[in-house]
Amino acid sequence: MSRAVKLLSGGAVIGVVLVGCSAGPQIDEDGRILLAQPSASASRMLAAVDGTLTVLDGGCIGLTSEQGDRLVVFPPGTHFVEDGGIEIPHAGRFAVGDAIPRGGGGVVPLSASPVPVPEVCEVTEVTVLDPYES
Amino acid sequence: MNRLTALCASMSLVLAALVPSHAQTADSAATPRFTVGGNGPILISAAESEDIAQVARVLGIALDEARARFGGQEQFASAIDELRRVTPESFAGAIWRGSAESKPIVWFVGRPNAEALAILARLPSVVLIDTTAVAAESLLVDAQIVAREAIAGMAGVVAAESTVVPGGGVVVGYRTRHEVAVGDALESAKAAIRAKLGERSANVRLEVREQDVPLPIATVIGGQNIPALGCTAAFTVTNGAAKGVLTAQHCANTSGISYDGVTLTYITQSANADGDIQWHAVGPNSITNTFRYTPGGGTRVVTSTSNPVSGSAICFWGFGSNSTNCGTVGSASYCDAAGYCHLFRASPSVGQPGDSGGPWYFGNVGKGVTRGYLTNGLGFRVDDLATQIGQLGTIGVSVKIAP
Repeated sequence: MSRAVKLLSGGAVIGVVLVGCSAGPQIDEDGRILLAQPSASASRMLAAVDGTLTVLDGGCIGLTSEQGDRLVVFPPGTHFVEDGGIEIPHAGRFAVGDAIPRGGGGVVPLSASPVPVPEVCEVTEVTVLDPYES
Repeated sequence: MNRLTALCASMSLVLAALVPSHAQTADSAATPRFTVGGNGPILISAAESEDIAQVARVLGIALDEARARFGGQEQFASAIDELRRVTPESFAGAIWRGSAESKPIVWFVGRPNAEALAILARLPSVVLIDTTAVAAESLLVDAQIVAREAIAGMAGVVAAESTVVPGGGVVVGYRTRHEVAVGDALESAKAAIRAKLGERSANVRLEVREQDVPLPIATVIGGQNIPALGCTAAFTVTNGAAKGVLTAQHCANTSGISYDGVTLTYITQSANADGDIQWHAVGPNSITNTFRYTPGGGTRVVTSTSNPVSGSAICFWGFGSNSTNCGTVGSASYCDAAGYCHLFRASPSVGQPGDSGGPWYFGNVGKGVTRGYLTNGLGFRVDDLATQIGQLGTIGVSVKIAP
């Protein structure tokens, strides 16, 4: 479990900005948590993943769509940007409420998540959004 | 007139002079409710006696009580059918009640004519006539049909049903996929009734409510879109008497989602070393051994299954690429870096988001279920990936290969 996750699980106020970090959960100055894959898997899934960027329980960044609210593990290199949004490689910058382009991915249990999922997100599975094709 | 009615009519003629007549209460002309009938014996055939005994057991009542409660119901039913024929403009409904405390009721719009009264007067049961109905049954049935059709045709409504309430009402219940306001449904039904019945529609009391209307039985095929999962279904499958559709395990295993007008229930899945497959049951709906394979809705029958062989030709379909894609099989047995096995690879790689779970086939032979695609070290596509059809045994289902 990373230092940031331990801090969050302990309920401490997070004052650390981990912009640009993609090896584990990233946390911005507002305490929002962004999960991104540490590296791209060679094997990509093709369930359609789309929706609008949203902040879920615990401040975790996810998507809202016809498929409901879901916590998303974004493609490698996804990070917070200064205006409070996120940037997804080969897709663009998005603020909360923006629709992201349809990508491919799939649902996996927490045990198969490519990145540790903080307990505050309170989920039993995550949606992995595989890299957009360049 | 059936044999029983004819017998009843002849019997009542014979007995009319012997049995005190309740043909019509003295003040019937002045009151909205009055009684008629009570003439002649209640006729219960041997077959009816057998059925009444069975009903008595089911209801837990004494046989005598059951005979008193249900004896004479068929004479009443025949009379009601006769009323529908001879007074369609005024007959408004009926309810059989055979207990000592309550009488069967017949509703009319206004005072029934002499012919209708004569039909009821012949009955052995005393019948309560209620002349306060505002709409004839024939009118209500017309209203019932058009009101249900109007609401069922609204965008977002997946099922609707309607019921005639004797005396002047129609109740329409509907079930929605997306929210449809009761007020909108009511206006739609009212407009349809006005268009059908004109001025007479003013006499129809209409009630509309959202409720859990059972979905109609549908025949489900494979290869259709599963929007709530972002996936495509592969083939229809069976597990004993249970019926369902196949898709990929990495599509969410949510229950209660819609598929081609029916509701799916997630059953089970195989992951990792056993492949990437899951199936959902279609409830009481039926399935057929066909699957969609073209953007235009073209379907194909699947009559057998076999695992792909390296070098052979193969095709797949999915709602992401929205096309029928064909190529050749590379490795016929492959484990990917995520640890998923019993996969096969095929090229060219053309799968798109939304294709997951879709069918792989050749001719009428089922071959596999879409998982995704494989990239090289530079992130470029190499092959598409799918689970071998032979893995269905791990989730206890077989592809439906006969109608």
